Amino acid sequence: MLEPLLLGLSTGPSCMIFCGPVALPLFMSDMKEHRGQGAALLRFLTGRLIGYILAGFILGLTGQLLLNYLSPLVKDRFMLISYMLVGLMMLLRGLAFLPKEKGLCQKARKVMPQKRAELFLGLATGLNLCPPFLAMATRVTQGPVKGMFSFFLFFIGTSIYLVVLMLLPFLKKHKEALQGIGRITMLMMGGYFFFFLGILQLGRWQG
Amino acid sequence: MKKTSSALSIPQVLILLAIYILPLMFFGINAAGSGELPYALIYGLYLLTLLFLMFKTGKISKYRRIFFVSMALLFFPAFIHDLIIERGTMLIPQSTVVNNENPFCHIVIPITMIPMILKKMVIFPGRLMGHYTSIYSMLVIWVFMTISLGRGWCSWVCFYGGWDDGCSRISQKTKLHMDNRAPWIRNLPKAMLLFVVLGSLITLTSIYCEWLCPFKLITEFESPTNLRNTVALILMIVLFFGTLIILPILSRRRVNCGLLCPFGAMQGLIGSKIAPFKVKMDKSLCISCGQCEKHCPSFSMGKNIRSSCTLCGECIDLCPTGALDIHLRGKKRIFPKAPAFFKELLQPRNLFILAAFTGGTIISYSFAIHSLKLLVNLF
Ligand code: SF4
Ligand code: SF4
Ligand code: SF4
Repeated sequence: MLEPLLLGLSTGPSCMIFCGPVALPLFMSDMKEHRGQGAALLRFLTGRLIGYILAGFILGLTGQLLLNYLSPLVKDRFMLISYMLVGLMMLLRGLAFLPKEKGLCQKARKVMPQKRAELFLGLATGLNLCPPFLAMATRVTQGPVKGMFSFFLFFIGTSIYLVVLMLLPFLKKHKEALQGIGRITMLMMGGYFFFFLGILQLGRWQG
Repeated sequence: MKKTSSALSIPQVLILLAIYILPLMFFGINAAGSGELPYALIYGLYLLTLLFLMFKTGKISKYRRIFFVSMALLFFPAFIHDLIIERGTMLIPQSTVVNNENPFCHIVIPITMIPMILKKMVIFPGRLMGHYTSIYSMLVIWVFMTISLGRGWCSWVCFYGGWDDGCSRISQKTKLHMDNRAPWIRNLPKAMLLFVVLGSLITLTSIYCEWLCPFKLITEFESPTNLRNTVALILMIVLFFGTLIILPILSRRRVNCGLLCPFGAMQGLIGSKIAPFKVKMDKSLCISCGQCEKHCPSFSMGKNIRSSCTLCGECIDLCPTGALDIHLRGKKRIFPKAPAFFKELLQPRNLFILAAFTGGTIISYSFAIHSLKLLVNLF
């Protein structure tokens, strides 16, 4: 029964390879105090949990059927869309930090406030078909409730590693610099996800 | 207060040159291949002359820059020639990627570190060892140079840095003002480092090499046979001319090295902490003339000297009061009680110049004489 938890614990570092590049600039760009950081991480994890529970429910319902249908091409397309969405959200959030009062920056502030970004980017990382996620998915076979429960345990296992983000407020001496670095990184990372991992790969869409 | 001259007397210069000649001869003779000895001698004499002038005039930056730019210009003919001999083209063939035979360059070091720790894998298709451009030999050189020179690497040793350093001094006037103190300028190098490190984790490939390296134009690049590679090629050309030539000429700053190179940012963070030599300001001598901030090519001078300082010597030469100098572990003089002759001779700035110039010599000798031979044969 504890297999998903152990799987999460053992594959957690690999999870960080995808979640880290999204979560680190997201949290650095805001640099909250301890309580605020705790709440922000909770929002991010809630989004991630929703993603996992959803995945557990669907996979539990369809069993291996869905996985069999998930050919490499379909997986590829799913990833492409997910990269573009993550990129778009990060770009909007990055733009929202720019000091311009009007135009795109103002719209970005409205569409993607920090709290929303934390929840939605968490959700996007929860639905990412990374190798640990797929390893977990192959183990879900016994109905939606068990599926959700397994993914919940997997979530616990992998999320433990994200707790390191609670260390950020300890760096408050460098708050201004870290915030600035986080904001620029956010824009760059958003552009990278959206353009280089998304748009430029659309040629692969046809297979 | 007027600056006291840092020029050395002829006997003092000769002692320092005598120390330098040992590694010069060792590496010069070692680096010379068949028929290359005359070129090794010419290059050796050239280096000796530059070092002589640096010590004799007490001006660091001018002669350093001549050395640094020649190193950059002499690097790529030999590199490209070797590539063409080895694989017949500057383009990266699939086989060298599959067989892990791409030359490894130091700029990728910060990008490969975290995947090495997390996944125990090297995310660059390079040789592990057994070649001068292999991963291990580059790592050894890096550790050694970082411990001794810190970010001084970026003004004395790197065979790429001469491009924007040289271009930053082509124009006498600044046509594009880039404010050293603007927060985005201060944060961009570290953001760039963080971005390429994190971005490379996602695909487990070096996204800097794939998309952002301007030096690919003068080393190796993928054939533009598909959309992805065509975009990469366009980006590479824009970055080469934009960040290494046009922007440095307009702004009189090293735009690539000061803002965009991830290795430079890492050297600033790590190297400046562990290396013994640093540029320090004696605030009691400073008259706030602003010359240092105005002319620092690396965006390293704000209210204080930043960790990104490449010890290029520009500000030291320009400061009218001598408020700036190179210190060794916080000391301006290491033998304050020694007789004046030795006190002057062994001041940290001279020891640093000797160490850094020797570092550049070791790195450049082989490709420089190879390129000289190629160029002479060409004409
Ligand atoms: S910043 Fe990069 S390219 Fe420039 S000198 Fe340093 S290592 Fe070389
Ligand atoms: S060059 Fe810089 S350190 Fe020297 S006097 Fe002027 S402001 Fe002060
Ligand atoms: S602070 Fe001075 S020595 Fe350092 S990079 Fe700037 S000009 Fe060169």
